[in-house]
Amino acid sequence: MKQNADTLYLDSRNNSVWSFILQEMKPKGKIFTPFNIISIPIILVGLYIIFIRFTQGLGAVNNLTQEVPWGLWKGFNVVTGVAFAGGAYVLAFLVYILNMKRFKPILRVTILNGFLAYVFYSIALIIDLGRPLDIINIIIGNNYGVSSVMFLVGWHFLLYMLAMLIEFSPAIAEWLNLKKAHRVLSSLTLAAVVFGITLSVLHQSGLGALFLMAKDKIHPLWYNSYLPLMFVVSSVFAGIALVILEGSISRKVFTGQYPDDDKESHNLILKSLAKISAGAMFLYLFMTIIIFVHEQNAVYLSSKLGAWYLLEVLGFVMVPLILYCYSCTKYNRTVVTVAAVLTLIGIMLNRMNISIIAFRWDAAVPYIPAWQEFVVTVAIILIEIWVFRWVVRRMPVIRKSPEWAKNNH
Amino acid sequence: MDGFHYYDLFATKGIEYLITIAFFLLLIPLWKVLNGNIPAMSKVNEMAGALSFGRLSVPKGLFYSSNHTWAFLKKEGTARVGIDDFLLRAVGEVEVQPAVTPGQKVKKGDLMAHLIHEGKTLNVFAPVSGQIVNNNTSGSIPSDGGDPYQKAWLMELKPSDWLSETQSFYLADQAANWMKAEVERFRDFLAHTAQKYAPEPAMVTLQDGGEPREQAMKELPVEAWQDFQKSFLGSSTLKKTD
Repeated sequence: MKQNADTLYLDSRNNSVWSFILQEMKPKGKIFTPFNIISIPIILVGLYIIFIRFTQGLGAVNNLTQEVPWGLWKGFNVVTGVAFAGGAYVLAFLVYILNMKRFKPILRVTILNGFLAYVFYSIALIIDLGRPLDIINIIIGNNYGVSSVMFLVGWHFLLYMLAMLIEFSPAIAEWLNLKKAHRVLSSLTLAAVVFGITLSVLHQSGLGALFLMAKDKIHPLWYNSYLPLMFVVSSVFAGIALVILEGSISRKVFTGQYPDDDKESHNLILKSLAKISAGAMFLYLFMTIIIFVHEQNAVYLSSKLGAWYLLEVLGFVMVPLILYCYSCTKYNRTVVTVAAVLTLIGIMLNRMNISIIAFRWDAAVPYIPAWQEFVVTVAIILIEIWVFRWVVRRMPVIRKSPEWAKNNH
Repeated sequence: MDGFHYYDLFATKGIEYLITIAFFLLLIPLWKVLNGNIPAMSKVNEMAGALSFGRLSVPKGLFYSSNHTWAFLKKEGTARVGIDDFLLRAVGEVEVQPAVTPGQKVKKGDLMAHLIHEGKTLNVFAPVSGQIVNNNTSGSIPSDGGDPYQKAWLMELKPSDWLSETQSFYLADQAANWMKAEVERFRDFLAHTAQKYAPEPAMVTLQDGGEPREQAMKELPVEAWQDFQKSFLGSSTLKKTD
């Protein structure tokens, strides 16, 4: 075959970049799996609903009102989703700042998860905005809105996505066999990590700060002046819980990519994550208790929302904390996974309570999300999973990097 | 005034102080619980002490492969290969049984030698391809190691593809960083190996900051040597780069 000197050849079969990428676009693995069969219709319906949203307006596809302007898309996809994506900055901190190399094998997949989470939850935000095109204002300077917490959150989302893309980019360079680009991108990793951790802590607390100005709208059991701090602390164990759950699922789905002798090191990683999660939850629990006492909220416990609050704190903070502590004395992978699931439910409850359920709990017409909102929420998550699967099947995210990369991620 | 609620701060101050004190007091048993079974931990902590990166010799002029062998190209064109200081200090005094003879041709990743200690064996694979010129006939590597790069080399060979085969090897500062990471990885390996093969059912981990003892592998069972082979020395022919 005649070689074009200008063409970049990726492998010994002399494939150019474009033919390589086209080759990679072909589906890998079985097409008619249970997951595909269930997710494809949901995604198609979700896309259709999004089309309706942009052609007929927000009111055609949700139950939001002037009194309750924030619904499931912002409350779940954005506020809760960003908490779940906290695993990326936590793990990056552990590996690069505290030099705990034992977590390096799961760092790349967590960064990918975090990056995709922020991208898709930004898309969910754009879908939910009344004037989506105005989102560009905070960047181009058409009324920046510098006195708004939203300005900080907006910029942070953008910069953090870029930072995570840079952190993940060596994997893309390894996939495309771009050795020089890999060297350059790897040299940017530490700076991106430091920048990313700083940004992440700020915007995790920024999301909590968004609710500070809604003092009269959020039920006293959930509202307090320390919401930003609570959001940061809870994002630590929320992110770790998702890392644990995602690891368990990935091990079943992408079995062939994990080395044979990986089980024991994975158990060690899980146990270490359980310890860190337990520590953060212990701190969070005591902060919750002190705030509860300080705000003199005992009077509200006798109400329905009081019982709901106790369920959230006792059932989904204290119980997983106890389970994590138990798994540290007598390690059991199932116990750790159950604790992680309970933690995720607890975080979901907490964020949804603050943003939806306990937000204007006294409204004349209580907000109940429309079925279209549920479908779009699920569709966005399923599309994210599809993209995640596409990337993991092609790039060295879970499997080892090529030898030339000298990267034992 | 609407929207304001006046709190008596002092009504709850005492309780808040007590809760804070309780938090710090409970932190101590939580720390103990999270760090697992302390008596069992002390057994593993006996391994703490000596195998630290600071004690390893990582000369800058050598090419290090990821399976803990090194290669050095001499002026006359022959390459000397051996095992690195990390491997030497991890396993201690071993008998060396060459798997190839002078005159034989080897490819990168082929079995080169066996390291044997009391019936436990590790396989060492050739870092580069070539024709064997000479074996180190000393037969064993002493426990004090000496200098693994002068006395404890394994073979000399005439390399056939030195340039491309050493592309992926570690050199100079990169080698030092890699070796540091390997010591860390060895710590984790010992921790989960102790849990896997230790008689006590409780899970144990190395205390953070503790370092593996030299010759730690000597006391571990043959199954641990097999795990070590897979994790650090490779279990089959090295994959070629495209």
